[in-house]
Amino acid sequence: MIRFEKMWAIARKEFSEFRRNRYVLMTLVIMPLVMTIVLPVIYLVPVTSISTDNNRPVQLTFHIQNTYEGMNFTSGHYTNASFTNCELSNVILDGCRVKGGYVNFSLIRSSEVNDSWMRSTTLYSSNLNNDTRIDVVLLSSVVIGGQSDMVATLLLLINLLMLMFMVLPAVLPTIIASYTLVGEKVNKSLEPLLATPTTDLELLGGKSLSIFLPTMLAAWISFIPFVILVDVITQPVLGYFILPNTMWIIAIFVMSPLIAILSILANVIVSSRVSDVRSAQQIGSLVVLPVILFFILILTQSSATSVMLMGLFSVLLVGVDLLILYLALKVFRREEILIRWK
Amino acid sequence: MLCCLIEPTSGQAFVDGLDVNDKESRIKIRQKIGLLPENPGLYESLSAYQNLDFYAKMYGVPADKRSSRINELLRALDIMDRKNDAVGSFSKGMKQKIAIARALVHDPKYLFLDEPTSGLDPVSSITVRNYLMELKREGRTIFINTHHLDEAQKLCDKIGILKTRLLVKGSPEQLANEFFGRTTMVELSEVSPETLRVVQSSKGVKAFRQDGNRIYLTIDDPVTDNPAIVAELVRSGARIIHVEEVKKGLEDVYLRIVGGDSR
Repeated sequence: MIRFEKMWAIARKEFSEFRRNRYVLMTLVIMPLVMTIVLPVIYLVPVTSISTDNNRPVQLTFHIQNTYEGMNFTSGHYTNASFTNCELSNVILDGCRVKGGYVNFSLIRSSEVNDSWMRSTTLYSSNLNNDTRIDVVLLSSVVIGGQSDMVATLLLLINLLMLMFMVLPAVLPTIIASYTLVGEKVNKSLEPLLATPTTDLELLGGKSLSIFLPTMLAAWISFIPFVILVDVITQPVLGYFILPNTMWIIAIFVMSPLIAILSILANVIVSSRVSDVRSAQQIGSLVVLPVILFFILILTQSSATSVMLMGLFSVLLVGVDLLILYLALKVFRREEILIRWK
Repeated sequence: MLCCLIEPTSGQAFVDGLDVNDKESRIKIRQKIGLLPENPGLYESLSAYQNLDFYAKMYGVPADKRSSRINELLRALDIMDRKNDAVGSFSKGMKQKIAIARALVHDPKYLFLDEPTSGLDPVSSITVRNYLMELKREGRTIFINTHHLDEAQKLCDKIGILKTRLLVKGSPEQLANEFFGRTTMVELSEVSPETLRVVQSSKGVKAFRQDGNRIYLTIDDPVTDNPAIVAELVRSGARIIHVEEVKKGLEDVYLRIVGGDSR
């Protein structure tokens, strides 16, 4: 039978100690602060500022004289014309408006292209809106809607920030665990604690709880300003609030706790093999590697595939957590700890 | 091992009828034992009260009794005025007192104390010793591991001397008698050859040695033999100034056993 009041007593004792441990406190505050404020500003602001400057539409004045709809043009030079759902190949357009249809192997100047497919075309001093482009050269032109390169970069960077954010629940336990487990051994307070009538599971549970709660609290609390900041920075460019979205909600509320548990239990095992705080931190931090590798994989996938992969990875993490819990309980044998933890 | 901190490799041991080899029993054994390890091992950033409160919870002391029990111990060990101070600011002796209080917080039946007066000033040592005597009078079983032989002699009913293995055990008197026999010192105004002849021929005297005007007699049963020896000496004309039984201390026993044992 697990006595939760004993687990809670251990966790509370650890919290009281953390409050007086400057190193743990600084880690719990500074790391999330870096993830929440510093990284979004460093990564996103330069991109959005470039993007915003370039997104100012080119000032154009149209004097439409001819209007064409649903026609094919295979050559010619057209000025002050409007094309709707037309197919244009090998043409030169000046001061024209194109809406819908296809534009191939052409030169477009001082014009506007909306909702069209373009291939092997050069645009000069024009505005593009919601187009699909293949092999298109933009000269002094502006992409207003659709997924521009800037937007794509921005989305990639936001995903990269997710990777950084996932490092938080993996790294914070490394720092805290090294103090609660190895620190207890270093301070020689382990012997009287092990002499108490608590079970291995209660001891391990209490210690783990004392690491898990501040870690998740730091991750979840810092997520709120992070979301606000990212949205404030990116909304003018994206035109919508990107966070929170399904991928991030899975990451923060499902994967973060699972990664934190993995890190805590891995650190319990590491602590059984090392005798000082620094070694525990160094070896324990290696648990970050599989997490980073997974998120690099995520970043290379499309959004829909990423959500599916994250779901799968979450299930996998549950399995790994259970396995590592079994291993940690095997390692955390109090009658051997005082002899082996040397 | 008896405190269930280390797993036995072989053999058997029981605490209060509970087998230390049995995993289920270990929790019950730990509940019955109060341990003072060699190092106090306190949580330095917590106050004295918080340290004791945490351990009271770990030992399952009911919430309504915790505070009164902790205060009672703090008063008994004369540390009440520092109860809310962080243990890190305490002297070694103060920490030792808190560690002793921690061992007693759940009112254990058995106490294992490793060097209980280590690091204490003479006044604190007396406070702790008196408190241990009080606990002893209450009928608690106390195991003390100490190098202070004087302290062991004052506090302990039974003593075991260890050097890698258990060399001897018994009460301080038994050990002294076993290694030195019972010695009676007779101080005379003058030791004549006649006096020595009388001593040598007296019943019960196994050996004797002279040191100035004093004669040291090794006797099996001083209660019976001493009056007869004194009577014979008086009859022979010897003038007796002082007679007393010479008590050998635990230190003498220790030196005899361990000092002579080079293993």
